[in-house]
Amino acid sequence: MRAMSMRLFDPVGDIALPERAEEIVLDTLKGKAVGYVFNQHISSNVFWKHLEENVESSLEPSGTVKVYKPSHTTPAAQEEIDRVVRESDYALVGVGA
Amino acid sequence: MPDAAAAVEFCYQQGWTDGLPVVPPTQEAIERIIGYLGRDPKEVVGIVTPRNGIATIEKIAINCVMAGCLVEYVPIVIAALEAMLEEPFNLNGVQTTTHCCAPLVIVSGPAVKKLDFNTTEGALGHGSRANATIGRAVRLILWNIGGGLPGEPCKTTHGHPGYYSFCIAENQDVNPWEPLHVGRGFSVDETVVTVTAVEGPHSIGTGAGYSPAEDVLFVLADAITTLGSNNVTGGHMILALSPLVSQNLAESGLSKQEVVRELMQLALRPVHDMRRKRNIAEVSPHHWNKLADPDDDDALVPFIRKPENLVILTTGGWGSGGGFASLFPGWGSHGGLTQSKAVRFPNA
Repeated sequence: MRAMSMRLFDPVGDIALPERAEEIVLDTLKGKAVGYVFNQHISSNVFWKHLEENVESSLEPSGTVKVYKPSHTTPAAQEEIDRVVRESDYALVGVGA
Repeated sequence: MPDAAAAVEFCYQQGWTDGLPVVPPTQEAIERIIGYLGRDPKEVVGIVTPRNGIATIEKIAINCVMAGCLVEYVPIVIAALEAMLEEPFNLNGVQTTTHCCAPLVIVSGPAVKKLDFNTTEGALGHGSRANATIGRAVRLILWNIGGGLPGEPCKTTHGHPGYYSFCIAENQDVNPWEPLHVGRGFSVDETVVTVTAVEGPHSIGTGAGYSPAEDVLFVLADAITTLGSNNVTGGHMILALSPLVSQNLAESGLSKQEVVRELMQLALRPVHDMRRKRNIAEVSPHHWNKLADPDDDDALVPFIRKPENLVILTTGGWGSGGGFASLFPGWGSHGGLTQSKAVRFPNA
């Protein structure tokens, strides 16, 4: 058996990045209201709590409007969604399932 | 790498495998596949969610080497990936749901014999390089390119053993009906891959060796109507019949389409049972209350909402008179819906 050397190739694919033009970077939400629509899925509860805390401490929105769905299979009421659209400048829509 | 053992360990260290050892992906083996395919290694087949990994021919080839595929298997893996990337399959959801569904790859057509798939005893299990390594390559692509790692982001509560490898094939020699892919609109001389995201197989002893077709159908329907199934919300399911079960039904004069229609009539559950299944909101468009009066205790709720929701194939050993079948419930209305793609073999 002679000595061997083996070169291996990476099976992990490169990541398809979103088009930069589609991204909007927000340094601050001062003077703006942020909306949250969350489905309260158990897999996302901890994450969502931290997300809200971070948005509010780092971006300092002037106000918030929250719609928490009763479950991930329950559509939000149209009037609730309308309220988010009406009362917020930017909205975060969160899912987990 | 100094030797093969070190290379296998290196693959573990890099997180390139989900627990089973892999064949080290060397240049020679990768080039052999790319040469066979005759395709540009940089050609993009698709973007694999949730990681949004770019599945190039080269990356697919690397994962196929790691799975132990023969070069002739790789077009089947590519067709399976193309099918999973169709929107109704909702691969992002399949890869991340808390449900235990995994893509089941079903191969039908001439390549089943040519590539020596196991379609007799143990057809859903062990004993064939084609079944084992094609299913394995699909999983490694979902793992390495798609990033379907348990915990984050894959939330499947239990998963199932088919997450390692999940590939079966139809046995046309003993199938009394038209091939699966012909029923799905392909020509008989094509090899076709069909994928559905499903749970592990649930064995059903139908009694087909002793019972008339009407009793066989009753037992099959009973297995379909379990309250724990996500198919209470609709969606697709796979039913793999052993040759004995298919023969029983066919000899009673039923076409495959008629078997589906019969099962649609029998796979029903009364409202007083359905009420106990509360994990889907009543306002959901997929709730069973859209199909039966929720105030009528005895109204019946169908588990197979459309004929195309039940996909039937014939495979496996003849078995005993017990007449076994295997049911693969699906993910329900959320996705994993059955998709088929013709396999494009080079120089075909």
